Amino acid sequence: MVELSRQFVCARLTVYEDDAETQFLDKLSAHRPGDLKNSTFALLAPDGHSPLTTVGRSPRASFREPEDLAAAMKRITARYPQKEQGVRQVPYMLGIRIGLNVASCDLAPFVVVLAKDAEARARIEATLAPLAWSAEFIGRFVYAHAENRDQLAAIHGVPEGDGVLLIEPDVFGLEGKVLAHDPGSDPATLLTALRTGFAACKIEGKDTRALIAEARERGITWRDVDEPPAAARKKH
Amino acid sequence: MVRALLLTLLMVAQDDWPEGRGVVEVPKGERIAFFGTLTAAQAEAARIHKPIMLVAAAPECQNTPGVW
Repeated sequence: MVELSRQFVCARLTVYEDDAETQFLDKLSAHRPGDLKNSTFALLAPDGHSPLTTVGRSPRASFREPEDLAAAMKRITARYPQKEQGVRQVPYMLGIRIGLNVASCDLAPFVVVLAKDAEARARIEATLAPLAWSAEFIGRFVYAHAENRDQLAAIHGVPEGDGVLLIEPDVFGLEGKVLAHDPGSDPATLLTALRTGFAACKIEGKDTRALIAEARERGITWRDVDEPPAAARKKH
Repeated sequence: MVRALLLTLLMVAQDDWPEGRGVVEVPKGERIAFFGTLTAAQAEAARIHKPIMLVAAAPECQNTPGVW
């Protein structure tokens, strides 16, 4: 499945976190407006919005077995011959808070590009993007970018200056600590930093029931009750 | 159930996915590489004319973060 996925552009959206994405998922899923469920699976055409299979909450909406999904993915891939890809963009999440949470969910290191402006970020991305999509690191990190240290208040050990930070998320994905960093101007030193951080990263495994109990005991929540958009209120 | 299916299919190579609490090393199996925003995924699909495998999920369970 991982190998087949390389023939697709894979997108994992975080439900209820962005109004435009929520509207897109609502429309795609043909739910009643405001009745978006908390998971969606779809295979879409390269136009970015036309479903190629039934849209559902999971692959089971269209496929009985994983082999059936794999067969469909192969058929779809054959319809869209590969073009010259070039270098892909760094696959950022919506922001720091959501990225840190997702990294924790994935038991993955969180990589942040800290750059004071778009020009500085583009310079760093030119070094980082080829590594992000390299065989060694593809799919292994969750990415986000920040413009200043204030946006990284939940991260401990943020160094001065622009660069790439490799962060170990905590079990709830609300805080993290920097394990490695690099200015992001030299591919060789950035490679070393990513390897060092990846090797050092230790993340607490998940027992959902125990985690929920601990969160309730400690008063830890992802969002305030009144915070989510209207669509989120019917999510369960 | 739905969440488990998504995890099984799309998250990680399950053979090295740790069970339960306790500090663990980052799983080393191959993983699917996801774009994290719709606009970036759509732009990439248009650029290289490839289909999109779209997953959407909430990174919280009963308002507890850190778990799908």
